[in-house]
Amino acid sequence: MDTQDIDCISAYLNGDANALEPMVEKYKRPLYSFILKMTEGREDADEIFQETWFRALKNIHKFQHKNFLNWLFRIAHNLVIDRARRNKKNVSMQSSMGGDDGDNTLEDHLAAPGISPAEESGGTMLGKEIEKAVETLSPDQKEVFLLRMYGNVSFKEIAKLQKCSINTCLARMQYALTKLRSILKDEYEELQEAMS
Amino acid sequence: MKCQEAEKLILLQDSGEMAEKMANPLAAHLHDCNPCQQFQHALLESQHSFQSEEEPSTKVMQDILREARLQAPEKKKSRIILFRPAWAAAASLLIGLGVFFSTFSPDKVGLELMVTDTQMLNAADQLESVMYDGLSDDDLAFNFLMTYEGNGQG
Repeated sequence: MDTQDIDCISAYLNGDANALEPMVEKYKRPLYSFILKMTEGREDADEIFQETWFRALKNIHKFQHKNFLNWLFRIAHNLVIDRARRNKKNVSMQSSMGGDDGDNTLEDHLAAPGISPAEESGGTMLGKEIEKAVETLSPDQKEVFLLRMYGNVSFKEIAKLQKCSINTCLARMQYALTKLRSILKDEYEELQEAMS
Repeated sequence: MKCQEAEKLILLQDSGEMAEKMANPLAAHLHDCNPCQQFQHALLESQHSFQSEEEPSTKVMQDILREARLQAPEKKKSRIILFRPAWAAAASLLIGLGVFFSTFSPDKVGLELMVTDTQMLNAADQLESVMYDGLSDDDLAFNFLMTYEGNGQG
């Protein structure tokens, strides 16, 4: 584990109330970016981000993980799943009352079209296309992809988190990148031509 | 090497989980395989597009930091503070022993109580005592006469 993280955690456990501040700051972007892409908008993402940290604070004395960010991702992953399940229940209740068209699935609630870093920061067309392609992935594929992109989480860790084999995680990532490869094919060929 | 296997190795290499011995076979495959090069390019391009730029709201950050302060365990007392009564008792004992041995050592017994005759007189008498101390009776008589005569002349 990062030695700075170890120092911060042990200082906090020894009573330094502000010792975790650098860690909250350091991990806010990767964690929030991941949660935002896995949920339905900023309000949801803010709530899950906060709850992730609250749970981490409550259990920090039990923390024995090698990597603190991975631990945060694991908590966030569980919260995202809980929320999706809750929403699914709500959706099925609504549909049984005739309030919905009944086509909503778990995937509909995890995938959040319209929240695109590329769009928000005025990104390129290519960036937008990549974002769109990722939105069409299944929740598991998308999660593997985002954990790799935002958290640089190892496949071994992702396998533990998703309770599957490393091979399955690799296959999910391969599927995601195969989709992106077809989008990026023309751009790659142009790049190759320019280099030759 | 098949492309399927090469793609997995590209992913494992990127995450730092590939066995070192696979580096050369993978490089050889990539050199000749355009689809796998594109796969690797897609990976790199995605990393470029998906950078962590999103931040939670300021309020959420403040709430988390406030909660962290609230949940912080109490400061652990240092061992010296923990054993404060024991340290105090030990210090008292040492001081007591020090006083005992300095006061009642055999060659100093009652020293502070020994007061000379001179110290018992008042200030004027002490001065006279010092002036006339050690003089014989004749010297004292002479001194007295001289004082008397001096006063008579004045």
